Amino acid sequence: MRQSVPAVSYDSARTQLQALVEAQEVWRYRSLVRNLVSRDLKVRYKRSALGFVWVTLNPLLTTIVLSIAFSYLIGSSQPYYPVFVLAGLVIWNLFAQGSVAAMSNLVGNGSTLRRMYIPPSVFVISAVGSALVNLVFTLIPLVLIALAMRVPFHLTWLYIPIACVQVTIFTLGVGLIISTMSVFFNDIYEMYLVLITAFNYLTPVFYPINILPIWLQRIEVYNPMYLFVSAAQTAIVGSTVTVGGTLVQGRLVGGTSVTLPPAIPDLKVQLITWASAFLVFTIGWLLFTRTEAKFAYHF
Amino acid sequence: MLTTSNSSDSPDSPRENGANGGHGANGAHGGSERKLSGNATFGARGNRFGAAATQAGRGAPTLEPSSDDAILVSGVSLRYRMPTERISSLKEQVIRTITRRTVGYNEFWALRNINLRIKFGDSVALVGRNGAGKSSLLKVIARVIAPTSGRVVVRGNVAPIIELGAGFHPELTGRENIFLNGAMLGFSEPAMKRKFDSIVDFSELEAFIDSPIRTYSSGMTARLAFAIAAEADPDLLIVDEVLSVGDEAFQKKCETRMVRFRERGCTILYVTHALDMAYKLCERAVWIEEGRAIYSGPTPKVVNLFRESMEFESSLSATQKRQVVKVER
Repeated sequence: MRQSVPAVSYDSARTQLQALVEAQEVWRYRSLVRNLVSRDLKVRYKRSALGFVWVTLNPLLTTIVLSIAFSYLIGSSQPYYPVFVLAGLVIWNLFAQGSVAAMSNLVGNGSTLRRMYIPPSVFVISAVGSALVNLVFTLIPLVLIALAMRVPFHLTWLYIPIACVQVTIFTLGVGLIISTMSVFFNDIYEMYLVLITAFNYLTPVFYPINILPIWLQRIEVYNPMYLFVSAAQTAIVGSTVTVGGTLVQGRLVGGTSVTLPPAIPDLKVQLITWASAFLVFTIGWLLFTRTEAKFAYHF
Repeated sequence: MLTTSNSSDSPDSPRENGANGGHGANGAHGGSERKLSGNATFGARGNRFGAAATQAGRGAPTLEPSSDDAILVSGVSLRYRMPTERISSLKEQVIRTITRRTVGYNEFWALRNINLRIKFGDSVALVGRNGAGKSSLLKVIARVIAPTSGRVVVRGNVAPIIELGAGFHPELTGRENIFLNGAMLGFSEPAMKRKFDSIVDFSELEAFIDSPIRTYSSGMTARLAFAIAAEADPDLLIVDEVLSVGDEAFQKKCETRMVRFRERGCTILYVTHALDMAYKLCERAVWIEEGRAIYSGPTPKVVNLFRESMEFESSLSATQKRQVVKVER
């Protein structure tokens, strides 16, 4: 017989807050998170001939295409345009890939969750985790291109990892919310794909914000994704503002674009970005943990 | 040791038809008012829809947990609600909310006031016909589904083998799946590394360990699943009728292994239709029928009773069966 009595591992009448219980369980299953991330990367790149090179190639090709297409439109108003675009894409792709994968990962593992206990948020966290690993791989070509285009090194480059951390927390929050919804409604996935494409065009990722009408620029200040993206872009190539010009029907006409040197966001914007990331994460975590008991009936 | 307080529900307590919409014959269902002796006192009848669960949840469960229980199942009921019309898209939900059309549910009580106490080192077989609720009970114990009412307490770490291939990824190799599955059972990577060789040994899959799982036969998958669960050294092993796909030699091996488990003080919960296996492996058995634990005791006794009832039933003609059901009600 065993000497010691094992501790209670499950009590359905436990009155603890589910949000805390889930956090403890995720910690206990941290090796599963690591395993799922590496499995995801392996399965995704095992069969493609280029292997891990593909991770970096994908945003690189997008950058080249966008550079050809938009350098004509945006012209010389945005210096180092390819670096500007790639910096934005790195941040955006983490959000888009991470939140979409969170949905499909949770629903796709429903058959496992129907058969054995695993804290379900593990699948959301690991989806965002593999998007984060992909991001790290794309940071390498970003630095390489920046050096190749002779973008002067500036200490503000070091702010980019901070922006990445913020967008990771934000993406976790959105991923938790959207994956909870997709468990209950199977049309959420398609709806979200449409929404995120629209959101991509509305967020200044591959164009500088000063080409937008003034009223839209004022709204963008409340778009957390714009704040994360522009923080990374401003940190590496600086920002572009329009000076002079006259307001004609809410649009500046005739001003000249001036490029400001690389900088990090001011304290107020930093606070807003951290706060919005944590707020969305908290909402997502509470929503997810409050409803997860019902998941098993819907998978 | 194992105790169940058998439920003796009133004849009109919920059957499969369940309550649709407003009328709730389910008031009598709650596990709350049941006394330890097994004498049932029934709650107020004619509760409104949905009151059954709340009522059952409020009352004190029948059995109190003690420190030498591996598993305590106390007044557990599990209700599945199947909407009469399935709403699976947000669009439909929005339209319904706007037009204020509500949906009725067909209720199905998969478990009804189950009381079960399993001590450390017990090995218990669950027997019963298809759809009796055996697997639902395992899922409630394995924490996959929360009970609608009642309480489940489990001590120690659990290795469930509830369905074949759960937690395996078809594209990954056997080797990779051992680590993945181990992590899904809550074991760390170093721990799995230590156990890796003995898992491969036990599963006898050395030659195929680097081939993707999708190339495995169901027998091979079962062997791998059992080997992982066995080597994981859990306090509680839950096995749901997956070993039947393995060949005789492997079944023999699993049997020996489970006997060794028992000797070490590991608790085993075993669902099977192969009653001979139940004889060999488990000292105790519980007979589950229509979501109730109707009989529990030493395996030979329970299994014989169950067998007789099955034989009696199969000897009846269809008309006779209908008459029996009528009399029962």
